[in-house]
Amino acid sequence: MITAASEVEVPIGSPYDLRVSMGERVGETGIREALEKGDPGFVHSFTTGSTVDGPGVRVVGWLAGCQFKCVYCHNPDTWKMTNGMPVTVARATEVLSQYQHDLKIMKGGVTLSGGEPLLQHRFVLNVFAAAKKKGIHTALDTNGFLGDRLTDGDLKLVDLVLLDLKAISPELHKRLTSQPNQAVLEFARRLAALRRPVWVRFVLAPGWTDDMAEVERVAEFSASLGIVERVDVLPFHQLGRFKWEKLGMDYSLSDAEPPPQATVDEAIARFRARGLKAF
Amino acid sequence: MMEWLARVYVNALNVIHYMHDKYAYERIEMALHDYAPVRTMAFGIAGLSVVADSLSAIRFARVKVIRDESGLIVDYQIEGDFPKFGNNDNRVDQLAAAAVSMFMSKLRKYPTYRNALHTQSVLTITSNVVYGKNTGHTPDGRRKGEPFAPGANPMHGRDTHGIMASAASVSKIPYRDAADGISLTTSLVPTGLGRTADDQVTNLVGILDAFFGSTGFHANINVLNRDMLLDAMEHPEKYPSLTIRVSGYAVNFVRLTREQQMDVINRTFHGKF
Repeated sequence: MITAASEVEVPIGSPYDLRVSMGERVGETGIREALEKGDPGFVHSFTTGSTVDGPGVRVVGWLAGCQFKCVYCHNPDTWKMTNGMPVTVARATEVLSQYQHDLKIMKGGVTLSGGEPLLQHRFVLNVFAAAKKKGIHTALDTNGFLGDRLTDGDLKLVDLVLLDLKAISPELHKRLTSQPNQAVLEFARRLAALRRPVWVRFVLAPGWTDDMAEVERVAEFSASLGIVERVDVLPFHQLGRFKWEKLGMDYSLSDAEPPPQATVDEAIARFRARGLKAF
Repeated sequence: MMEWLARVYVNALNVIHYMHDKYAYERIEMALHDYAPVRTMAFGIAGLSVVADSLSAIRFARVKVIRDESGLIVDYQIEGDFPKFGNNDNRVDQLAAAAVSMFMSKLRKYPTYRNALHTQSVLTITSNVVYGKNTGHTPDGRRKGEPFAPGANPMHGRDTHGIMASAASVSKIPYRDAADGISLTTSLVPTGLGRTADDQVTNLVGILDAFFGSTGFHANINVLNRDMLLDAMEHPEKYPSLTIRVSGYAVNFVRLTREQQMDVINRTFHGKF
C-alpha cells in the first residue's frame, strides 16, 4: 500500500495497488485551482504497454475521482480525487514524448481512464491536445455522465471514446452506480450524431448485469447508435476485493464469483446477433 | 573494490584461457581456424538490477548497515522510498548504465592472454538463480538467497509501469560496453496481449518492432499461462515437451530444478491477471 508521497517522488505504478491520500497536500484551494486550470491532474496510476484499453499497445493513465459508486468497482480507491498524485501537464507531456515514437510503431496511443476522467476534463483536454500535437492517438474511457463538459470542438481531440455502459434500465443503473443514466444515453446519442467512433464496454456482474434481458437492452441501444465499432464484455473479477476491505467499505459483491464462461459467451452472442463486433 | 575485482577477474580468465590452450582437446581443432582470428575474452554481469536498485536506495533513501561481531556488514536497514530500475526513470537507469560502463573500463586496463578483446555481457539466464543463492542481503531490500533477475531484467515485481517502461530502462544500457549482449526476458499471458488472437499477434509484433527499432538488443519472450507452468511443476508427466525460451536456447521446462522453475514463474509477468 502506498500512502502519502514520500520526500523522493517515486513514479506511480500499477492500478492494482491500493493508493490513498497522495494528493492531500494540495489542499482544497489547490484542488479548485487545478480543476479550473486543468493543471495539475490527480492521477491514481499509469502504465505503458496496455493492450486492453483501446486499439494497439497503449500508455494508460487512470485519473482519480469518480461520481459513480459502482457496486462491482475493482478500484474503489479511485473514487476520491485526493487519492491521486498531482501530475502537471508538463510532466504528462514529457512522458508522452518518451513513448511517442514507439506508440506509433505499435499502432497504439494514450488512454485516459480512471475513476471518471471527465471530473478533470480540462486536464484531459490539455493532455490530449499535447498528444495530438505529437501525432498520438487519443482514447477516453468514460462513463459518459459528464459528457456535456466536452464541446463539439473538444471532442475533436478525442479520437476514440470507450463508453462504459453500466446498464440501460434506469432503475438498475441507479442501484448499480448511485446515479441515473439519462445523461449517459444522451451523450451516446450526441456522439452518434457527430459520428464520433465509440467502443462500448459492458461489465457482466453476477446478480446485477447478467440478466440477458438487460444485456439485450444494452445490445439494442449500442446497435441503434450506428457508431459502435466494437463491444467488449468485461467479466466481473475479484482482484479489487482487498481494496474494499482495506478502505473499510461495504462490499456487496464480497462473495461473488466471476460469471461462468457460458454466460459471458451468451452475452457476446447477443451483441453479435445485433451486428456488433463483440469480444 | 571494483578495481580489485576487475584485476582478479581478468587474471582468472587469463589462467583459464591459457590452460585451455595448453590442455583442452579442442586446441587441435583450433589450429584449423583462420590465421589471426579476433579473440575475445568474455566477462559477465549478473544481477545488474540489484546493483542499480541498491545504489538508488543508497542515494535516494536512507540505508543503514548492520555489522556482525567481526565488523563485517551482514545486513541493511532501509528507510524511505527510492526509484527502481525498470520504470524508465533516469535517476536509477543511469546508475545501471554507469555500472556497466565503469566496470568495463576497469577491465580494459588489464592485459589479456594473447591480446584478446575484453567484452562484457548482461545475459545470465538460469545462473541468476545460483548466483542469488550465494549472495547475502543487499541494500535494495533483496534478502539473502533470493535469485537475481535474469540478464538485464528489472528485479521481480519492481517494474510497475508496464512493458514499454521496462524495455526502455533496459535499452539504456550501452551496447558498446556490453557487446556480448544485453537481454530482456519477458513472460506474458496471452490475454495480456489483447482480447483476440489477431490482436495478440499484432500487438506482440508491434512491441517487438518498437523494442528493436529503438536500441533494444535481445529479448526472450515467453507467452504462456502461469497456471500451466504451476501445473507442470506438480505434474511434469503431463507436460513432457513444454518448452520455454531462455537466452540463446530453449529448454524443457520439466527438466529444470524446482528453483529454476519457480524463477521462471516469478519472472516479470506482464498483462492482466
